[in-house]
This record gives sequence, structure tokens and C-alpha cells, in this order.
Amino acid sequence: MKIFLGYKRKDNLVGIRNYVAVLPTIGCANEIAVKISQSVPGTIPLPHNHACIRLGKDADRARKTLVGIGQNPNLHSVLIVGLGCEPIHARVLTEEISQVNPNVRYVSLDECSNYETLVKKGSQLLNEMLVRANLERRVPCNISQLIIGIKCGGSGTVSAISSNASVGYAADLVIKNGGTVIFSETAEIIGAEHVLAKRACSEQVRCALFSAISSMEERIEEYGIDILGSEPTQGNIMNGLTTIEEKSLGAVIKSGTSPLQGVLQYAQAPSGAGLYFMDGTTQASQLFLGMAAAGAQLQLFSFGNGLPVRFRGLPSYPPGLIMMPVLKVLGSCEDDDEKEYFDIYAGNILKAKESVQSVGSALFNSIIDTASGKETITERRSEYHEMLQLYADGLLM
Amino acid sequence: MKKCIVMNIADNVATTLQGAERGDTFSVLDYSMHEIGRIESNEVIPFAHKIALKNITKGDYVIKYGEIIGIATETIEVGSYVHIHNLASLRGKIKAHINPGKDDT
Repeated sequence: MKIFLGYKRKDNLVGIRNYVAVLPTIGCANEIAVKISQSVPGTIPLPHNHACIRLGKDADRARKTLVGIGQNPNLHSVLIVGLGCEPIHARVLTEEISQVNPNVRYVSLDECSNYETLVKKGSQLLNEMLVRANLERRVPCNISQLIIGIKCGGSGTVSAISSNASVGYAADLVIKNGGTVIFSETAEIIGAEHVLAKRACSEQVRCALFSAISSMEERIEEYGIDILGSEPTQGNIMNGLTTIEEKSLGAVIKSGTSPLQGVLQYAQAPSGAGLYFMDGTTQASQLFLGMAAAGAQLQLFSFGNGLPVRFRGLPSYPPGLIMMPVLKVLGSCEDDDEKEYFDIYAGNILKAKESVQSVGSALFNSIIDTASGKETITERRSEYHEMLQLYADGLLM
Repeated sequence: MKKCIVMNIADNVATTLQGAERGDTFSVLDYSMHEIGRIESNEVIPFAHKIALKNITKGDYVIKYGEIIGIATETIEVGSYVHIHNLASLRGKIKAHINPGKDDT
């Protein structure tokens, strides 16, 4: 049985990082949250784009996302920074997060005499949190305590052969060892749902999968436009892809061959181990946030070929969540100069110099090492982080 | 010799592992990278794009991974370049666009 060294949390949860984070309740509190975090070096701010203008489903999803992020086990402790006029008061958000992570406190402008008092009180609480977090030590943990998110990007025809195939092989190994894997990107299942549905563990899961895909396709049809150029993207088309069917059939390869245990809503935590599909967006930062809110500690990112693999000026492309490490896999065999910007090189599969099994096994070992604290390329090289993007698919006022 | 890979034995297209000029010969590999045949390119085909392994009549399905990836919008000869100029999706469009096997009249 493979083990890794992680941070034990309450209720048998395990973190692979030990961050002390400052989470604003709403985008309007971002500046104060960042200021408080900057006053205590070693802590991280998690500014995001939530706003009072979200309605109904999007507002509910934002709430679940913020609670889920606060409960992610990669965070040792969380300081919530609120204002008092937002949809979810800092006190309420703190209460909800504390059901899983007891190390959560809040400061809110409406309970302080002024801005300076708020920052001072926040800094004091944050300092205390950091002292306690630094006492934590890694202990042996089982892979059954790992939740891994997977996504593909810069997709081309080679993705299915090299990078996605390697990610799928590693995903199967994680699941064979008792772990959990989540994949998503609903639009990129269109045309491959019948293939994926064969792996559904029950009729209920099969129906939930078809329902998620058909509702996405109905929304596309309501727009009454050709999605070519968006799905597949112009970049995908340059990389050899033609139709959404071709893209989807290649994309689902990254999910491996394990049975599909369930269909999750965006930001919803899986109820058990194995493979889960999350109904969500293909937009990287929004999707990473949904995965982290569902409890994922680590993300695998499978790159194909073409220009996106050469975005080396942005080694954190797409904007990685600082709290959730990302392992990047390079699928192209024509971009050897870019190898050093990726954690795993799968391009040799296209040259018949390496097998999917050997690259997939190397990726699995990298997962164990990263979970045990080894820095990813992005963690080592990137100083660039964008604010968290909460997923909305409805009207913004 | 150039190489291209076929994802499923039922496919009528293969993915190039090197870019090709007109007249180049491809070794056609299966998913395990074993040669299963050879094919000559009719035209310039970029790296990672697709070549027709069979004649595909306008309106016929284009098959990759053993699955339908769209329909041919014109007749495609064996060895020709298959891309968005002659292959269209059947999904995620307004219903009126989906008209497999019929001429655009």
C-alpha cells in the first residue's frame, strides 16, 4: 500500500499543504483581506470575484464555494474578512466553515470602529493562527485520503495519445489505491457521453450524466449559434481538433477506465472514493476553484500541443490556485524546449520511446511526492496568481 | 518515413505524428505504435492533423476512436487532409444545422 506524508485534520481529512489563509466574504473586502495577509508574512490571501449582484443559483453556488474553500484541508486555518453588508455575513460563513475546520475566525467592518481597528484585529488573529499552524508536522497518510482534480487544456489531437492517456493511467492508479478523482468540463463531454455512460456504476449515475450533458447542449442550442471556434477553440483547431465530438472523445481519456461513481454539482464534495464527474465549466480558474471547494488537494493539468504549451512567461497559466498544487503534464513532442516548465513529459509516447504505462506511473509517483510536500514546477517558479473566479452561469445584475 | 496513428481499427481517419507534403508516404500505426499499413498523402497535412484512410462520401460519418466525430461536408478522397473545411460537428448546434446525408440546397 502506497502512503504519503500529509497533515492530519479533523474528521480524518488530510491536507497536503499547511496554509494559513485570509478569505474575504465578498470581492469588496479583497483589499482589506490582502492588506491583513501582507501584514503577516507566511499567510496567503484568497481574493475572489464574488459580488452582491449574483442571483439565485449563482448566489447559492458562491456560498457553497466559499464554504468549501474554507473547509479545504490544505488550509490549516482561515481568517474570514467581512464588511457587514454582503449576502453572507462573515459570522455566518465562519460558523459554516467551522463545522469541518475549527481553525476559523472572522473580523468584520460592522463590528469594528473603523478600518484600522479591523486590520489590527485581523492581523492579531492571523498571527496566532500562523504560530499554531507552524507546530503541525506531516504524518503517514493513506492515498484513500487524497482527492485529485483533473483537467485538460491546450488540447490537440496528441492529448488523447500522450498527456490525457498518461493522466488517465495515473487516475486509475490513484483509484486502485483507494483514492478519489474528479473530472469535469461538461461541454467537453458532448459527443462522448455514450462512451462514458458505459462506465456508470448505476442507472441513477447514468441518467445524471446524460441529464448534465443534455442540459448543457440545450443551453448551447438556445443560443442558436455554431460553437466552432469556442468548442473546439481556435487554438484547439490549430492543434488538429475539428469537432466537439472529437475533442470530447479525446478529453474523456484523461478520466482513465475506472467506473463512474457519481455526478457532482459544482463545488460539491464526493460522497466516497473512486471516480466522479463534476458538472461544471471548462474555464480553468473557475473549475480549479470548484474542485478545491469539493475538497481536492491536488490538481493534474494535461496539456496537448501548440501555442499554449509555450506560455512560459506565465508558468502558472492557467491561473493556479495557490492553495491547491497543480501538476502539469506536457503532451507535445514538438516543444522539447518547454519540458522544464512541466512536471511530467509525455511527448516521448508520440515518438514511441516511452509507454503510457511508464509515463502514467511516473505521474502517479509525482502525485505521491507532491502530496508529501515536494514543490511542483508552478509552486517553485510562479510568483503570479490571479484572484479566484467563482463560477456563474446566470444573470449578473 | 512519416508516421500517423489510428486510434481504433474502425476509424476512417488517422492523426499525423509528423507534418507531410503531397506525395509523402505515411506508415500507419495502431494505438500500440505497431505498423498496420501505409498511405500516401494527397496534399500538405500539418503535424497532429488528420488524413483520410478511406474514401469518405459527402454526408458520411467521419469515424475516430471507433466513434462518430462528425459528417463529411464534401467527398474526401483517401490520403486527403481532413479538417474543419470538410468535416462538421453534429452536436451543440441549432437543430436546423443538423442535416446528415443531405445536400445543402
